Amino acid sequence: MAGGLRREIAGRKQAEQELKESEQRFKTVFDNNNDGLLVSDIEDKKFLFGNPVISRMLGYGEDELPNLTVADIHPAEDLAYVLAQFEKQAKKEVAVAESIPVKRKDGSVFFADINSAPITLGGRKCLMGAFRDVTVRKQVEEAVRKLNEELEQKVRERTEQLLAAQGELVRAEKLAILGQLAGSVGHELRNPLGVINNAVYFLKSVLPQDNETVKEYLDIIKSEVDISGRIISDLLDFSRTKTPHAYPTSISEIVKRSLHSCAIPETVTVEADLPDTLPPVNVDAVQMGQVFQNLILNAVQAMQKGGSLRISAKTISDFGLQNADSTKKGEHPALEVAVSDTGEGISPENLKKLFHPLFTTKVRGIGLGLVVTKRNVEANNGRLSVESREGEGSTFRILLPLEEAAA
Amino acid sequence: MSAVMKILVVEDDHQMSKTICDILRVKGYDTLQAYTGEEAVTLIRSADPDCVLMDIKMPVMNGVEALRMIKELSPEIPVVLMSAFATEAQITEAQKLGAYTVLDKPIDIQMVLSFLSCLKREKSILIVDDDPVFSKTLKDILQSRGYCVETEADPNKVLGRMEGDYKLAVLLDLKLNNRDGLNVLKSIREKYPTKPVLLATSHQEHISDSLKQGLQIGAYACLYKTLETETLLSTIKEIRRKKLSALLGEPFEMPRRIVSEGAPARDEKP
Repeated sequence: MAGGLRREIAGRKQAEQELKESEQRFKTVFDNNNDGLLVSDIEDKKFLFGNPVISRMLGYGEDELPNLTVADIHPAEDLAYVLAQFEKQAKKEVAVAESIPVKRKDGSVFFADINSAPITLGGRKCLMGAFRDVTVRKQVEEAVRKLNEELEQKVRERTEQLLAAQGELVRAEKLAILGQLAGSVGHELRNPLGVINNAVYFLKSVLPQDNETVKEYLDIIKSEVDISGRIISDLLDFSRTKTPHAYPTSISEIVKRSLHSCAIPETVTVEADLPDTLPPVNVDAVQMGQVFQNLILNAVQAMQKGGSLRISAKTISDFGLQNADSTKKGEHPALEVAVSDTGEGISPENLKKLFHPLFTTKVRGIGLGLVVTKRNVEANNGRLSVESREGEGSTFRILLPLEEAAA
Repeated sequence: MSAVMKILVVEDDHQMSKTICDILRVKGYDTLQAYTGEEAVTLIRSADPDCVLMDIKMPVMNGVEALRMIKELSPEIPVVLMSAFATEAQITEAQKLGAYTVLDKPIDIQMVLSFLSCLKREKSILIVDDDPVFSKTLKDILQSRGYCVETEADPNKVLGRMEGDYKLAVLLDLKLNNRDGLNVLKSIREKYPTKPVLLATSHQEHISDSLKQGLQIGAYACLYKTLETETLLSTIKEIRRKKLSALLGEPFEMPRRIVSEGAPARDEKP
């Protein structure tokens, strides 16, 4: 009996010893773990204890931990998510909760991966979490993600640029083909038109004067041929750029000649304000003649019910004012010529598209006239602008730099 | 130049050629037709036309190449080119070779007709000078070169002399007896703004201010007496050439220069 008791005592001591050693081993492992370890009651989420690492991580003393619950060490806004993860871990559905925001005693937040395992301590169901600070990793990840995003953005931008460049190339190629086509079509059509023109002229020369109807019809043919010829000219001018042959020229002369060459109906009154004192401008007289003819024709066509065409010219001192790269204000004298009509005007919507190729509101026209006009003005170092009010009329303004400006 | 002008039409498009020639004949000209550049060159040799109207785009020998050969054979013959789509290089080359202009097709036939009628017209010049000897000698020289010359010593009668009759140019002495030449110039400019007026003066040093004024008022050029005949003739030739070109739509500009002895006027022909 005594032997048995002794054995039993010895056995218990042995067991106590083993338990002590086991506790010791646990404490050593627990305290010296690289991760922050924290044991929490699954039911009330209160902490039981933690190791020195977690207390350093959180900024709480080890003795303070039993006063805290899960809600105290996570930002309030993330608590719902954290608790959901907690429950999952308690049910062993998830082992590691990644990048969980953790709030320190001082309120600052870091991110931790929490590797948890349920354990039973003194009959209480607990969860032991191993916290590993991943803030640095998260920052790196964030940086990598940002870099990736930027890279993707750059790739997108580059792709867009490439696509745009390709589109530009295709457009340029199309325009080049259009140019060649225009050249050959223009040539092929100009000859027959010329023949028709000559035939009409011949018939008018030999026809008896009194045949009014035939004369009227010949005039119709002639004016239609003129329209066709003008369209072809626009097409040809659009498809090639002529270098201007500029020399000092009287703009009044050009305007007068242009007015003379345009058929202006009787319902349109013409008012020209071209002072003799205007200085000569350095321009290509033929190109500028085309410019004024086109503007005058447009003005006349805008006044189907009649109206008044006004052409005025004056010198101004501020050509450079609107010039972005000019530093000297008011030292760029220019000649301003305005062609105004009292016609139907241009809607704000159409005004935006006015100088786009192939935009037209005319029954017969291909929408190149103003494009060529603008290009001619710019080829002569000038600028073309337009103002218009629907129902009131339009004013096209040409600014041409004067000699002093070029010096 | 014979009474009826003979126009050589060089055009590979038969319909175009036919219609142009029919119109020219209706308007009183003789016509010759060539359908290639080679034919044109042959006709220049054999038929001696007064003027050439030629297309640029033709097979084998184009109009500009034909122009070069024509000008070698007959440097003075007036040539007008036409084209539906000439390149800038062709236009420059044509003008360098002495073509009056390159007309865009469809050509303005009225323009060609006024050019031809001006070509046909007498080349008439009015000399306004109160020195009878000077007027006489100059008249003789110009007439010997085929110009029709009138002289006028009375400045008050100048405008009357210009009425009705076409004058290519007026040669005006700056120092007239009782009336300043500049005033005469002003009155001519007012009534005939594009009429070329050549100012002539014998007093080189003293009146250079007046000369400058004259150029400002719009004299075509100023010449010093004693006039170098060749200088005067080349200036008049230049005026005629410019006037004809202007009829074909080329811009007419006044050079407004002072031509002094030893520095002859720039002749634009090679």
